[in-house]
Amino acid sequence: MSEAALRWQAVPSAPATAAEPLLRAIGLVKSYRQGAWPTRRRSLLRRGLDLLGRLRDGADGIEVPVLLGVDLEVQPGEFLCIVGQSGSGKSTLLHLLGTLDQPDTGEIWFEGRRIDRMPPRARDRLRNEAFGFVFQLYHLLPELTVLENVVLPLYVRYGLLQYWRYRRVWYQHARVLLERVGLEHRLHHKPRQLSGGEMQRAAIARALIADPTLLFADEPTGNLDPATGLEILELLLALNREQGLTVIMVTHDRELAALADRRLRLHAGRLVPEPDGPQLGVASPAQPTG
Amino acid sequence: MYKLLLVYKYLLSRRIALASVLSVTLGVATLVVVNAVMTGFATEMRERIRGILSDIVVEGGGIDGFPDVAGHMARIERAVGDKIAAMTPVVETFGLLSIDYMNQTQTIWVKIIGVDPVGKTRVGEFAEHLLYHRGPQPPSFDVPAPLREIERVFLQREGLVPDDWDSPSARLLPPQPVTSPSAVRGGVAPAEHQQQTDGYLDPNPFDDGPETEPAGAAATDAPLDFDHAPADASMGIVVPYLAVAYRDPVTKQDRILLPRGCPVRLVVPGSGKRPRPRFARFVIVDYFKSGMSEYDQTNCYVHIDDLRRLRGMGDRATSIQIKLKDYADAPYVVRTLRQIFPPGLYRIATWEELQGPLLAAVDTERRILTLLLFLIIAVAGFGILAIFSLIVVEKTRDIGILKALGASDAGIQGIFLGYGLALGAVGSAVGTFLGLQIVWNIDRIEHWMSVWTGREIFDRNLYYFDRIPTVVEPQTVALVAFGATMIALLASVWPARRAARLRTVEALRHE
Ligand SMILES: Nc1ncnc2c1ncn2[C@@H]1O[C@H](COP(=O)(O)OP(=O)(O)O)[C@@H](O)[C@H]1O
Ligand SMILES: [Mg+2]
Repeated sequence: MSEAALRWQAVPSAPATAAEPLLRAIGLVKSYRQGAWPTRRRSLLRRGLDLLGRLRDGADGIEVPVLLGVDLEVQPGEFLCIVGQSGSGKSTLLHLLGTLDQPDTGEIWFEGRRIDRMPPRARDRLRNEAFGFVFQLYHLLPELTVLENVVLPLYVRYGLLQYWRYRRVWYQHARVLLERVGLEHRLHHKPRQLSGGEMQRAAIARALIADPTLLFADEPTGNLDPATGLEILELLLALNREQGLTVIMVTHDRELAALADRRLRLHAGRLVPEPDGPQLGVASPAQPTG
Repeated sequence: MYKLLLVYKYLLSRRIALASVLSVTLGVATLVVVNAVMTGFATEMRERIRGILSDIVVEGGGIDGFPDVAGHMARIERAVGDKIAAMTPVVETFGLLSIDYMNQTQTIWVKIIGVDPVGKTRVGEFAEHLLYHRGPQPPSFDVPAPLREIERVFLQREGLVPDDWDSPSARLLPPQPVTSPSAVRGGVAPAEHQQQTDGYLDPNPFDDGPETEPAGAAATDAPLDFDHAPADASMGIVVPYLAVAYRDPVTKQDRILLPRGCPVRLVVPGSGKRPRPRFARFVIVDYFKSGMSEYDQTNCYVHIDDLRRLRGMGDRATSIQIKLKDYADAPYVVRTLRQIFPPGLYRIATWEELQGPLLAAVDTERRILTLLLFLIIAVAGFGILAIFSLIVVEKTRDIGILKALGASDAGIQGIFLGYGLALGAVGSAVGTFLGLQIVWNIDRIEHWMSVWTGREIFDRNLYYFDRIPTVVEPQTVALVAFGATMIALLASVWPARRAARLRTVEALRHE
């Protein structure tokens, strides 16, 4: 482990030749501007307001640095856990890796392809076909039933014609997955009729339906009671062990993190190795210096 | 695929959005109803006007008209005979109609139209507008015996006819009236009267230039007593209904003040270079009631030969009315006839051209109303825009989820555009359905509303419709529904674009 840690701390700029990693991030830097408009392209009005604000403040808003150069390599079949305090930028990192957002500088490579500067359409397809996402707040669509939520990635990928032809196969596949996560009795319920744990199971089934290579889980247990959280984690672990699914999970629960293959801590905008084992204890305030 | 699914789910789940298209629905329904009723009115009116005017009118020569009518008709027949279904000569002039009612004399100006009842019936609707005409045979200006009896009673009451009415001498030489309104103006010798009354039978009035009638003009133009016309020579006349009818404000029933058989007096300009008034007594044989108040107030019909004789105009006619086999040929026929008859002397026009301003006014009215109602729908569009913007905000996280699952910006935009389109389509469809239902049951609804509000909404007597005329034009309805749907779609463009531009991570963070 420490050898690996050393290796990725001295990442060469060129892609590694030996043991091609599944995912590799090089020098990711990301900062947010406070009060940024939540659309990508800013409207003329907004730009005008910004200009006024800049004239008043004499500065271009308030920059909030989140990531200050994150390097990371993830091997196929790995169960990686990223821990860190709330607000340390774990979600931000996961979003960057999952192409939901773009880094200010740095590179992200996936299966030998650079993915952080891909055209939007290709990125959308990559997310749909290779990545699975599980979020802390489950993020199921409230209007759809559990079954429809699970099949949603396939709906997104295919058109009406394929839907008409393959819907039976899809639904069958979804049923199998829901059975796998233990939700076979809730197929036609709406999300709000489910408990938190059940919703997270549905979300995991949804993340799996497109048969992803890499699963991103952003605090999947954050809103669940410890017992349910453990169940969810065990489900993810089982998927990792049995199907070789690569998982990158973010959590601030050290007990759960202890079950992962590898732990990294996001601290002060950088990733550092997290000491192994639960022997440090939950109570320990000790933090490695970045 | 997910777009359709989500549009469908949103349609089912978002009641508030359905409320926002309620205004579209109402706007569409109103537009459909207003268009149907206005088109119905316009159509009804056009049909009536067209029936009264015939398809094409060849006019010439002012109120004296043009000579050789038969020759004119032959030329028309030769030029465009294959397109023509029927034609008839008409003499039109203005005149004064004097009626006596309850010892009062009322004189109104009228349009006097001399027609051949058979020919007129062939070129347009005529019999249909006569109040008492029944049956398939063409109307007639002959005064039937029962009406003659009534006339006699009236004349006797005024002392114009001796009791021995039926004696041949009385017919030939009616006596001097005992009291008559014209006696006040009197001072005219009976001999002159006689001369004048004969005057309207003058076979060749076109000779009466100043040369042949020098100083005598003053004498011959002197007022003349109507009542010296031979009593049984009075001819039948169709009088304008509104001129002789009276609406009881309480019962809303019309009362005809002058019954059939009642004599009326008519003054018309004679023909010639110096038109002089011609006088005659007519007997009401029927009433003209077309439902177009303009016509029902002024149009008097008499037999064309009676009018010609009265005015001393030989076989002249002021116009020839033509009915076409197919009205689509009208432009061609008009063009051809304009080449035959010099435009300075003749006016050749379709009934639409003759009634241009009126028809244009109706059309303009309808267009403006349509525009205004579309503005209402446009206002509804802003409502949709507002509610859609709210829905986009509310759905922000869902948008983030969809993007995380690989939905493209265009796809997200498509969801909301599709949603707008679907809402517009639903609103328009419901509105169209509602509007058509109202149109089809408009009389019942009107009746119900009249009972409910206690006042008559649609005064049938005013328009002489027994039901509210409606015409549903499918293309208009389709256009309205399409337009409203497009407005809803347009209103959703901006929110949809906003939704598509949302940054994924921000959207996921939402709430
Ligand atoms: N869109 C944004 N605008 C401004 N600041 C942001 C934005 N997204 C994240 N941040 C800031 O970045 C920091 C890291 O956030 P996050 O990655 O969610 O942390 P974590 O997931 O570790 O709790 C926080 O301080 C947060 O306020
Ligand atoms: Mg987080």
